[in-house]
Amino acid sequence: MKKNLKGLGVLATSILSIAAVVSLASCGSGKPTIMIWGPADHETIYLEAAKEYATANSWDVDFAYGSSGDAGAYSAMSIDPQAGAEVYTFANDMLSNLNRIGALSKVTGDNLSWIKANNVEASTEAGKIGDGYYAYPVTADNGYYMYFNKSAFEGTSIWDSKTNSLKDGYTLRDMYAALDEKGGDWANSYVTWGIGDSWYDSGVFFATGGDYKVTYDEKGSQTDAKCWFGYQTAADGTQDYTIGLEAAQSMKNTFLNVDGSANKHFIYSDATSGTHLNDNITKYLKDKEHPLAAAISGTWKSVEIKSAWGDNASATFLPTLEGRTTAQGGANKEYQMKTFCGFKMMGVNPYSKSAQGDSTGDNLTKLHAFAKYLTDTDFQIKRYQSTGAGPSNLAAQKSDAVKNDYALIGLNAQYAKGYRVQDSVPSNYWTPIQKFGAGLYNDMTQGVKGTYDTEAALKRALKQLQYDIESASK
Amino acid sequence: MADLEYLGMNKFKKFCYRTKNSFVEFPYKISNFFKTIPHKLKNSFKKVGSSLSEFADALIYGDWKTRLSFVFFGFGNIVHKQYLRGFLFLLYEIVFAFYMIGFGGQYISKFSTLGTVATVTLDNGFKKVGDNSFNILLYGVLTIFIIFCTIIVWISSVRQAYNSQRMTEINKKLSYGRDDLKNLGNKYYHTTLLSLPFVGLVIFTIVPLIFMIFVAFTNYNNLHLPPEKLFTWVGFSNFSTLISGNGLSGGDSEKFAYTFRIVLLWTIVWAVLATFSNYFIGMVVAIIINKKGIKFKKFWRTCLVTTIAVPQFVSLLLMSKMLATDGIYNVIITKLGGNAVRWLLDPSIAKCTVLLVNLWVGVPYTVLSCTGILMNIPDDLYEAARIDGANPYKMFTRITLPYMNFVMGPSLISAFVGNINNFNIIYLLTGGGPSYDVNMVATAGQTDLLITWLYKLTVNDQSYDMASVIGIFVFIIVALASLLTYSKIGSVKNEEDFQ
Repeated sequence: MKKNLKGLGVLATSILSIAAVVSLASCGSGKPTIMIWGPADHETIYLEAAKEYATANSWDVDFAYGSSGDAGAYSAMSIDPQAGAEVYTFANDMLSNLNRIGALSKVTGDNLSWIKANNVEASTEAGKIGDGYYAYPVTADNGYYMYFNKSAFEGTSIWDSKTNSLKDGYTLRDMYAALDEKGGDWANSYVTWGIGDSWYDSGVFFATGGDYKVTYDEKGSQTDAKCWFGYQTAADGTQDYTIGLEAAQSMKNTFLNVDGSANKHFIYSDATSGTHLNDNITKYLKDKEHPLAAAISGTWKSVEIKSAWGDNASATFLPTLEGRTTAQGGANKEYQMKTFCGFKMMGVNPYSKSAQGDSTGDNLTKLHAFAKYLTDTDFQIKRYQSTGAGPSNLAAQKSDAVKNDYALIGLNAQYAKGYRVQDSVPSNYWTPIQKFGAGLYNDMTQGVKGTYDTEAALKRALKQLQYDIESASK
Repeated sequence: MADLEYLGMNKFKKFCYRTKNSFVEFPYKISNFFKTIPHKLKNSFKKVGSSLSEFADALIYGDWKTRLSFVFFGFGNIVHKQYLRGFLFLLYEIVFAFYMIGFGGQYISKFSTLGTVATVTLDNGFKKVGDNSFNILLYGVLTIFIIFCTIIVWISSVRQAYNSQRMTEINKKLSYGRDDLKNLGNKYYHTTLLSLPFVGLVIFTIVPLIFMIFVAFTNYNNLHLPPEKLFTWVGFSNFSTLISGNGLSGGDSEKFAYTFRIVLLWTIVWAVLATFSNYFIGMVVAIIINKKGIKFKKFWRTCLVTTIAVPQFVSLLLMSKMLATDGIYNVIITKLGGNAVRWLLDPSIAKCTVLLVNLWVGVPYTVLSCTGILMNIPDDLYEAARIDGANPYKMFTRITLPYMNFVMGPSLISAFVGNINNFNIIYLLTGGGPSYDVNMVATAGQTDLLITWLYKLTVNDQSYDMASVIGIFVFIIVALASLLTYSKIGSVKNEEDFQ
């Protein structure tokens, strides 16, 4: 018994030692591996393109793919940048965080002029921090615009037969009038936008001149959040509520008639279940009594809307907003609603194994060239064809494969009209705006007095809104 | 006061008397506690001292062979023909030297500052990595451990040399390689078997634990993430941030202290409520099922056990969907004409919801254990009580409850301690709960326990320093709670006399 145990012990030790020696010997083989991080469903196209690039440029490397790109990029990279991917995709609101941990290599020289010349301006600006640009734009399809059914508006007063789309400068009230004009099936149709969803409400505030600004200290943490959605403070301390009042009135004019009654064509949408914008669109696309005539949404709805409306599906820029009339204290001004938009970018990680392996910076240059290739026209077209991701590359957008995508046409039309890149928002941004939009709609349609009806009440609400957004950092 | 007098008082007077006694005894208890500490310290120092005294003896009384083994480990062993031990010691010394020169030395030298050379970005974009504070801390701790082990080996080698010297002087036989190996398989077999688990325990549990405790004294957070940035020692500033809000994080410190107080309060309230609600309701359910008139006892018990069979993970995630503002419960309520209840979104309602769901999850376990105990209470106790004219309430408080408390005492304590750290139910149900108080740090919510807050700080915020401090506090709370209550409860005190 004891002899057996001893023999067993000797055997175990010898096996372990052999295993150790073998494993030591087998590591350290040949070619360096370039790791790419992207979304899970893009693996095949990325690896294919990478191999083609390597052969074409005699780059002697292996490629690997990890699905920590896009949404998971910052959390994966922050664990250890030195174990992170060489090139990776991320959503543009992670830009400052990734820069803080040093995982973004600055785009300079020829590369910089290249990305500026070849991509939608909004997408390049999304990679800007201070004076430098830190990423290559990949997609430009996360914004919103107006979907509409052609047969509901063709031939009406807001129809432009030259562009085969809605007239420039149309408002939502014009749309309702056009639907009444059209009559028939569309007499009780619905139009919706996410007035209770802060992402869409932001577009109204940006339109009337509001904005926010987050300041970071030299260490990169948020020290201050400034917002002027409600009012602006002049040098002498007086508060000018024009921006806020115009925005509030514009919102009211999207669902109220001139006499103050709620328009029958508008259906309320927000971001909570039960009245969620996406669910409302799905519901009323199929509804016979109140068919959907138009909705403000994004590319994620394009396939569903196309299958419901067929050739009548169309998309265009966002409506014009009407500010206060002179009777209400305004100047009859009109504003173009803007889109709050996000982009996917590609970053080069200077801490990655390959980049750190060569102190002359040669490897880093090669990685930048690789990233440039992955965000160039051909690959953007391939990415669109395989996954439907709207390209940011201008040439790709004009290519045959993409130019007929009606959703992207609508989005690009809106980019030309006005956008606000969604970078890091203040920490208490979404809830106050959502409360404002939802509250405005609910109270005005239910006739509640004293909250959003008079100018004094609005000023109170706007002051609270601005205070809430700015307060999180105090 | 005499026993008879004590028994003669009514309940209220007895209570006052006991309270007065505990207050009077309190200073004595504290002074006793402080008296025993130096005593225990003295004992442990004595033990260490004895081995060190042998060490000193070796230095003073050893011959040249012993003295040389101060420098060359195992020299004394080799010279006394204990080749196996000698060469093993020598091998250890050589490996240690290589380790320190090649790897450990550079980290230990920077340990006090945790790195001073920051990462520099050159003009061509290349990032020249300087010191990596994380590696310095980690490998520094590891190296400190190895140095500690080496000191033990050193002392052991010297003592063995001295011992061999003394034994040869009196002509006693030494044990050689063959004897050592035989002993390892025989007399010291426990050493052989335990060596690997012990090494595993040290490497995988103790060293990481010490490392993470050290992190609490640094400023390793998302503003100081290596390799881009360095972090350094900040002493107790993290602790003062958490307790008094005076640390280095500027405006956030006040929020941290405020949040800590709220989360700590809720953690303790939750642990108490969850444990005792489970206990009492479980006991009541068990009693009901156990009553003579109830039919289908097995069916009821099976129903309860089925909830145990479903994995907690699955059932809790499902519950959180059902309790959402548009979930099935609210749909039913609105269809019946009521208003949707914000089960998980309203702070106070969310707390009640979590307690209720915890009842659903935990009562079956309590019912099982209580049923077993209930079946053991002899029926004649109840018979006697009924004859004496006791009503059901008196029977419950005088017979059932004390019996249960006695048996379930330790289990209650472990349940209480477990509930302090009950991560699953809070995180899976509410994710830490609605966060609507702007005075609190963004990472914490209204139903957050210390442990879930710690998790969110680590995963979402990379505030490893604050998370580590909270972890230390959780340990202190849990250790204190366990030690104090366990030593006090009746089950331990009156283990022998049980009635």
